[in-house]
Amino acid sequence: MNITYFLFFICIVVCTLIITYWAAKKSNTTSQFYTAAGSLTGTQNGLAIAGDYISAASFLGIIGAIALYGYDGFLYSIGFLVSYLIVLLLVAEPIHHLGKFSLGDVICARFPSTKMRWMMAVSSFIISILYLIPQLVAAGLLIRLLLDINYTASVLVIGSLMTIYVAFGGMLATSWVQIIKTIVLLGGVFLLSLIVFSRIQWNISDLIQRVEEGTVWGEKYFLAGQLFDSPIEIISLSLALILGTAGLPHILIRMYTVRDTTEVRRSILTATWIIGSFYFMTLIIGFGAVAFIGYQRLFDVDSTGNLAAPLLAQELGGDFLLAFISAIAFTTIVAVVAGLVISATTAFSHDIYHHIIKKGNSTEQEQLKAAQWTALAIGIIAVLFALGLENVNVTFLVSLTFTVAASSNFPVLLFTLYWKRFNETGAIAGMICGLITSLMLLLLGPHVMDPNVGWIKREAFHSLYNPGIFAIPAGFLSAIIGSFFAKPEPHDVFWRFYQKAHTGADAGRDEK
Amino acid sequence: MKDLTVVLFERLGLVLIFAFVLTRTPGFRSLLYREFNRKMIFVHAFVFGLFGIASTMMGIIIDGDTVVIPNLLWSVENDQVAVSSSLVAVVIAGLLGGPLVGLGAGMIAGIHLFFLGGIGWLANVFVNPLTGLLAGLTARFFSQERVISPMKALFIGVFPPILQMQLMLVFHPHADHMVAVVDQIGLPLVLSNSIAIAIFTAMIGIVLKEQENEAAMSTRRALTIAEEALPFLEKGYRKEMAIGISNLLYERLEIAAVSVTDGETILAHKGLGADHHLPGEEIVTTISQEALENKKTKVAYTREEIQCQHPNCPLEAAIIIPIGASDHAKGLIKFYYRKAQHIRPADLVLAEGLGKLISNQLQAIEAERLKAYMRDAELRNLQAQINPHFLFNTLHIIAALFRKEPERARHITVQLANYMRFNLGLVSNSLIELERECEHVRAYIEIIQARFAGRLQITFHQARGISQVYVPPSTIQPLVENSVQHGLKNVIHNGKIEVRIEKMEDSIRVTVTDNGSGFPEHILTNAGEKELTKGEKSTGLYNVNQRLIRLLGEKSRLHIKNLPAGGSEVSFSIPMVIQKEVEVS
Amino acid sequence: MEKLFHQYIKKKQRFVLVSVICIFLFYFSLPLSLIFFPQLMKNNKDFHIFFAWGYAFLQFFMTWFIGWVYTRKAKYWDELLERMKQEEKR
Repeated sequence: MNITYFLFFICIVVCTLIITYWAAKKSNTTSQFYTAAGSLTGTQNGLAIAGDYISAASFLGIIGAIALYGYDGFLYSIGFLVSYLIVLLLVAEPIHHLGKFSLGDVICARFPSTKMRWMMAVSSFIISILYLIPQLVAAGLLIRLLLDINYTASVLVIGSLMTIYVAFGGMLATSWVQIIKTIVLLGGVFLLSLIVFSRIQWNISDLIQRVEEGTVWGEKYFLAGQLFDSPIEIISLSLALILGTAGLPHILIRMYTVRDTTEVRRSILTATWIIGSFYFMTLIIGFGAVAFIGYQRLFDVDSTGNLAAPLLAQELGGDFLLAFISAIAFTTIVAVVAGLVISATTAFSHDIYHHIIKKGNSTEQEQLKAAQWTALAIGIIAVLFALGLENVNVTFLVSLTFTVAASSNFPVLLFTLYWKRFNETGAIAGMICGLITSLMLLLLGPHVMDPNVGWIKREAFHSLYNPGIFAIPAGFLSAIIGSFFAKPEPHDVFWRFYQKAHTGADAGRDEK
Repeated sequence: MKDLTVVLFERLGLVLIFAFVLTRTPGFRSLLYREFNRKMIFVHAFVFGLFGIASTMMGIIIDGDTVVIPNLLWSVENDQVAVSSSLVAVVIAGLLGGPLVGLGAGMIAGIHLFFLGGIGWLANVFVNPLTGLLAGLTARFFSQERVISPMKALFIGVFPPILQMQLMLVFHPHADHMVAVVDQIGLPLVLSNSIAIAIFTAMIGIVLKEQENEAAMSTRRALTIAEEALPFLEKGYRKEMAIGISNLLYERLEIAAVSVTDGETILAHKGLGADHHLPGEEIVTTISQEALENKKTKVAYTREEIQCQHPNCPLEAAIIIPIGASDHAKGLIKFYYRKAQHIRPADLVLAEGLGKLISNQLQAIEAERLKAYMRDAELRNLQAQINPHFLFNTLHIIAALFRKEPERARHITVQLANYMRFNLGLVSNSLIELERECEHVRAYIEIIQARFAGRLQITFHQARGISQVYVPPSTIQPLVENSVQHGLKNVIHNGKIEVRIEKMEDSIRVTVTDNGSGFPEHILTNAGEKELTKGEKSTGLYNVNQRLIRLLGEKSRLHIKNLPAGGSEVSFSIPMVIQKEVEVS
Repeated sequence: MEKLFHQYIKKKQRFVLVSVICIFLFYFSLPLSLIFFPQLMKNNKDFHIFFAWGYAFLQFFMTWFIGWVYTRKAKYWDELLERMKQEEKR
């Protein structure tokens, strides 16, 4: 791609960011942290949630997975979508009732203690970094495609730029960034799918035909099983996906940014519609990619499939469309990165620095400084990891994050909200065990340990790409067992908490 | 691609030049000023739609690999691509006028493109109305200002051409080289269109700014005129004032004629039509009556509304401004124009402003008058305070002397009569000649000497050559009274009071001294300042002091002091030349 | 009063529990059928495709549908809760 189009790419990114800046200014939101609780409508929040959720993984990764592996790629979409039901039915409203600022508030509403705060902050930290890594990978690959420089350099450049931006200037990750980005993204994807359809004269069977020709699997492309050799993998993945969203801190804290429970429900519902429509369109684009570019070429350019969407754009609309789609993808990445860094740093700077280290005695300035240092640290860590993961499809990486979240945060959250016998020991045990198990299984798994292309160049200890089926029950079990090692809570303490969590009413005290 | 960009810029430049020229014409400008209502939406959409068509006609054609630059793009072959920059006008329409205007303009431009044809026609037809609508919605969302800033317009303007390119790909995939076309014209279109949009927005912003400046200038003019009108207004609402005002307005504003009326007839008319819009004529026009009744500015746009009877009256339009001090209109000021189009929005603003200012000034003048009346009444009240005790005591003496010294009794009665007549005469004048006051004082002294014969000696010195000096009445007598009643209260014999009237450099000095007990300390500081309720001593001094200050000025205030040898001295000075205050009608 | 709250919560939880079980059953039907009926899936290509893709799209609609139903029910429960709170105040 020549320099003109690269400039065009930059121009679109800049335009989108400036427009979001104006939108943010107009609505008087504070630029540093998320919008003050209660200021978004349900629909707006839904757009923002969708924006937070549709990261590079959803966009580039899933399209690539579908293009290369057919049906199995679509399983990711399904899992991602249905998981919102779990959020809606099980955890959304209690979180809204119990907390104000971070996920730690919720758990500490029942188990107030410094240890708990630490635990929650650490887990948020880890999960955010894990979610961040695939974004950087995608960005690196994108720049590599656009500018033809090598991956390591791309990642370093992008990583440092983003870190600097977020740490020192634009803590401007307000909800408006997500909202505008979602609108632009949806628009772009919609148009791209329209272009795909028009290329096949709006004839679906023609598309199917072409897909079968273009793919290396032939007609097995439409069957399950090209990506996952065993059903165990599928179940493992499905489990992680459906439970993971309910353990992602940066999604769950969006339950705070609306006024009341009706709006909470409406936001989640809006988000599901948006995300669902989005996944429909990515299905079409995935098919289009394999139909018009063909498996081989896709694989050659990028074996992970991450670049399927931009390549399709280039095929269908030349460098012009490539620049546009890349710009959208890039903006998406920037927005999500900013959002993640914010959520991780607020967890740290507010919960740990302000409450624990400074015992509630720090100024805004100090908190800001702490947040900036944290952002820097996160950026560096994420970049380091991203450097080694050039050859992984970003959706896979994100699903690993989901595994971790489903093994650590989710069991603890679920038990806190619903189980009488749960106590602090159980929470800590569950959290630590879940984290360690999932992380260990990841590190020792074939994603990371691969003699040829892995980060650790050795044979993997186990062959499960998705270790969720072991990690998640481990998390649950350890939480259960841990609880029995300590005394149960007093009866009325639990009931009062339970009531507040599920009705929002605080018996005997003022309402939140 | 670079060449293409340059060419597009050049062609767009032509459109922009045309647009700029258009913004200088009053017709287009008034288009921008008008408030938005149903009708204006159509008009605006139409105008911008025409602009869109003009931009299309200034476009270029792509034929295979070659770029064809016609003088004006009238028609396109089926295998050629028309590159139209109509989006510029459509986006502007949306940004300025809202979604409906954008949609309308887009439809007009789109229909033209429909008939033009060529490859990509469907996309062009579709993208124009869509863009107009979206631009309108976005503008409302982002900016509260009347006109969006050029920078924002620039950034928003990047997206419509992108949309256009994508729609081309959607609707015409099988034009084999469509992808190449998009590659070719995409970037140049984005660049040229977005910058043109920004420039166009800036131009319109300038036009609207000028409107603001004009309004500011009008306001300043109105204020200057109002200031100059003040001397006329102070004369009261009469013919002189009307003539003065109409002359002033006619000179200052460039209008055909000015008329000033009161509630019923024309008071003055200057300018065109002065031959038949004569002073003294009654106001008959309905619109004037309405203005008078409702106290609202009215505008007559046609001869019929002016209802002038004269067949050759050159005046066709008028602004009618009611002027009033309180809530009813005292009269009208009318601005006449030759033609209705000559009335500019700035003139309306000016007229309203002037009307308000003049009304306010009339109100202020009335208020001043009212204050003066009230002050006058207060003064007269002060002056009419007569000491009843004095009356009783004197009558008592007269009764006592009646039998024994009837001559004396008669003398005193006469003096009393003089004294009282003088007091009665007080009500009608605020200042009297010093001579008369001296007579007053002498009459009083005689009476007192009769009462306190032997105990008291009062001497009266008056310098010669004092005439044409005016004082408030009853200013010296109370001072003497004060000395008698208070200073010499406890003195059995050898009480002396001296009244001296001396001529100083530029004033007359009046001094009353006594050899009594003097003023108590606390009175010295407050005497004459406050109306203390303890006894009438200070009341009298207060009264005199107030009237001296009010009618002669601060310099004439009373000076009170105790003499070192015992006794007190009260004095005041009268400025030499004093105009007698004119009676206020 | 507490009693009422608990009843309310129990009612709500029951609906949620039933829904979650349904969702899980439906959601895992594909992978589970791959495990338990491998022959069925491998041999009968058409059925496989039909099932797989029907399942996939149905998931979408299931999500939207259940979401919508829950929201409706939840509104009803909210009103119930409000009424209970008013009662308590008195």
